Amino acid sequence: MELNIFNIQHFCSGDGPGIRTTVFFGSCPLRCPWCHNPECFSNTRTLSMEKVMEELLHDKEFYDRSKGGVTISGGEPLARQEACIALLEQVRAHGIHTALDTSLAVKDPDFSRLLPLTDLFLADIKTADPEAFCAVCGGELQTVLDNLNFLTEKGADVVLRVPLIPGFNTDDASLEGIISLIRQYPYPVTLLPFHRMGSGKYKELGMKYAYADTAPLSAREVEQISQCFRAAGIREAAI
Amino acid sequence: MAAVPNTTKALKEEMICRRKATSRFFCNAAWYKGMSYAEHPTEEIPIARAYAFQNMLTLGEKHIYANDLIFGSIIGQYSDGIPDDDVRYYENFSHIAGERGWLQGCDHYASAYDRLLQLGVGGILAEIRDSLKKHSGDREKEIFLTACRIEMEAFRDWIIAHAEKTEDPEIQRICRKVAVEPPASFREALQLVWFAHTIYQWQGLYAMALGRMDQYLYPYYRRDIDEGVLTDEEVQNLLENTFIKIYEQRLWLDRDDVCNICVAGVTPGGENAVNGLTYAVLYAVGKCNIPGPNLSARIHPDTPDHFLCEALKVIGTGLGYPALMNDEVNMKALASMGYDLRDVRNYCMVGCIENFLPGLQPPWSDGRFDSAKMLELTFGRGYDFRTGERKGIDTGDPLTFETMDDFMWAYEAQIKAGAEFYAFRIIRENARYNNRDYVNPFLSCLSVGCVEKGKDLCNGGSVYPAAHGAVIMGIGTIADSLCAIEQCVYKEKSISMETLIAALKADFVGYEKERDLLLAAPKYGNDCDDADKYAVWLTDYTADLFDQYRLEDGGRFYTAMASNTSNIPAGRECAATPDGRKAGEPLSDAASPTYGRDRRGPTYTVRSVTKPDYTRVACGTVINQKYSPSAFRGDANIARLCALIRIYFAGGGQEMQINSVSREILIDAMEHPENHQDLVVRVSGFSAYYTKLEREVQLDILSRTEQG
Repeated sequence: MELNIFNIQHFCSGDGPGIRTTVFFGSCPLRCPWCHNPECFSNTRTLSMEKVMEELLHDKEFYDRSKGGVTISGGEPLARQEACIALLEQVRAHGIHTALDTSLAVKDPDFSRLLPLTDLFLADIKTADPEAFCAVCGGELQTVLDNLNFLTEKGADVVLRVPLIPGFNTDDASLEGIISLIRQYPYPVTLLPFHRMGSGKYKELGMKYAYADTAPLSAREVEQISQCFRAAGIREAAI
Repeated sequence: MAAVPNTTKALKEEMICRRKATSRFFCNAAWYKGMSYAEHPTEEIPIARAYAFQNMLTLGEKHIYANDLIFGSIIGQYSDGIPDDDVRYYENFSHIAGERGWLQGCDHYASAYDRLLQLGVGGILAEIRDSLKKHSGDREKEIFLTACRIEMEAFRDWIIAHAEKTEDPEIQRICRKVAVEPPASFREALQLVWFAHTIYQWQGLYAMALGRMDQYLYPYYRRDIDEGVLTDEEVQNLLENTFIKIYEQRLWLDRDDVCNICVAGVTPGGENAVNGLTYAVLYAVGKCNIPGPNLSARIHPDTPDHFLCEALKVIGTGLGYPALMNDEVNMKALASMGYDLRDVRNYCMVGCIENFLPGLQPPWSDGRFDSAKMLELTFGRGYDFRTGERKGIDTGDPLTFETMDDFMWAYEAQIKAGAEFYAFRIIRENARYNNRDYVNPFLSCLSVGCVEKGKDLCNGGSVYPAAHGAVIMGIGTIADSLCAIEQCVYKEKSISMETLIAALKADFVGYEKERDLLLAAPKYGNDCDDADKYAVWLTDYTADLFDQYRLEDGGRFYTAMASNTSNIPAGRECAATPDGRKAGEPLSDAASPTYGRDRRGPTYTVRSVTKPDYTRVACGTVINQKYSPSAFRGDANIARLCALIRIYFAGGGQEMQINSVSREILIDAMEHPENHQDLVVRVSGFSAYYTKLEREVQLDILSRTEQG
């Protein structure tokens, strides 16, 4: 099987527990204007499953020792569900912990096959406002919530990830919405403050980056926001 | 009992003020010693040297800072103003008397501080008296032991003179006590050790290690903690107050004393050695946050993860210390040199990373072995490309080498000739001084066996003979170069030997295409055997070579891969190399892959750099690794690094020095991206090479990075 991916990154940080290798799948149904991986749309390459597994297995001892594993990210891995499931199967066959980094913005994923293969879901909550999600990212919030509810019903292990995007979701009202949404779930949260490290990629791809001039949040602003989450009784994920 | 306050910050400020108050000053050691030499022109030489030592200690100022908790300052070495004619006149006497230098075994030493603490100054003086009786009639030994007596008495009186400089009765009591008796409390023990270290500094000795402080001070610490005399916080305050003094050298000499402190590991009995004091030393070094106290942590499989994680947190503050040492590999390497197992287990480091048995062998020395230069000499048939000088042997015309084996045969012959020349020089240098006269009685008294035998440390007094480290230069440059030659010249035949030599001579000007081909060959540090096998070969080959030589006293040559910064001057002298490195650029650093060329991340680097057999590199190696400060943030990240280190050590790695990337490095990476192509910025779901980021984004990261 051939996999359409744009990067395999070793010794990743923040993509799940322990020492992890992240496989970045190409393509995504969303069009978030702050995206830091724009190459998922165009700059992908095709690698054989065998090659990908060889790279992933290189770090097997590191996963074992650190209780780490493999994270499948993107783009949106569920947009290439069959390849994603095939890879999860292979990784699992070696007894390696698996994590799936997803926006959950894909309708009716094949959870009956995904759930037994995935140890941890890293699920994005970008906003609680359906209109903003549709207008800015091009997705349906209801799809995200339906999927999240399903995962919850099935008792999946989930970490919610909230990107903090200036001008999109860092105003009080947006944050309040996100917090009251998240409080309905039993999951810990990771805040992902906006950074513009992807700007060079846009230039290389000849694309315009809408967030090129947006300054990252200050450490104090980030701390204030995480204070709000803590005050609402939301745990921070230890990954 | 009065509580021990934290005076570190105040003391540091006071030290800076004191230094600023002096505009012109000079080192008075040669003057003070010279006056004594002039007084004793016909005295037996060792005794004249002892009198000179005594005079220096008598005349030098015993400076006490208002914020001192532990006394002993280097200020007494200096006099205000500029040397006048009187000073110059007497200095001549000292210059004629001479001193041992670095290659003759003067410093880079770790004392048997446990011996000093157990016996006390009085106990050592009693031992000298007994030994004098025992060796009565043996003139040479009587002279040496008399010199020992003079110097230890001078040390005693110098300590008492500190008591006279203060009105604090508790301080007076401590000084008067440790001047004679063995210390009983932690504070007394630490004070006596620091007094001895101060004397070494007054003697002008460099890189004198404090060694295994968490072991030899432990009995005193345990007793004081158990009896409620001190709290852990107070112990840490005393240690900080001591370590911050190491900063005096930076202020007065504009250099850092490479004062190695070694913690953790195992006890001589083989048990896990981590204790409460281990943590106190670690935190105190971290709090001082100055270069100079070179903290080394011996990491054994039995060392608790908790300690390793705490060490990583200190590293992550930007300090870069402690250096992490693989206890199993180091002990195996030392055991192969024939030392007793209990002594091996008690090893520490001197200087940066050099393995040393405290108090049991003469002072350390090492030198630069220009293995990368010998590659150039292989191409040049013994001639230097740039200067045209003959610097090696003729190993045949490279154009006639038909296979990589032929090339390796010639390169090995070139290295062998280089090693012969190197060993010849070191053996002669090491024995340059007459061991009977060029003695260091004080140092000998703080070592094992010298007083008893009536012999100086460098004159057969020590338990073991000397050891010398040949520092193998440029393992990354060499592995990458040999791999590029094999790939381009012999396998793919994309570059002829003739063109390669022309390209190297031309520093690749006009040969850009060839350079690209060479750069594209596999590089050391990416877990690729094509390149890594040459690092394995270099390690084994040089270990075999140097194992054949012996110093005058029978001591061994160790190898090392720890260039400190000498890969920079060594590179300056080297023409372009086949790995694509340009003429004059630094060689790869220490045992690390060439910076920027291990691009697949830490897990691949670790796999590569555990391939060489470091149990054959008894002096030690250094693998420098850079991580962004965020890699140290939070318990999850610390645990990741901890697991990485454990795998690295289980695989046979010897040492790792981790640097949290400082502002300085980030700025340098913006100006010289070619040197920092491995610098990765990792955040969730994303990572990028720092040098590929746009300038504004680089500035974002820079603004979030603390000053180092």
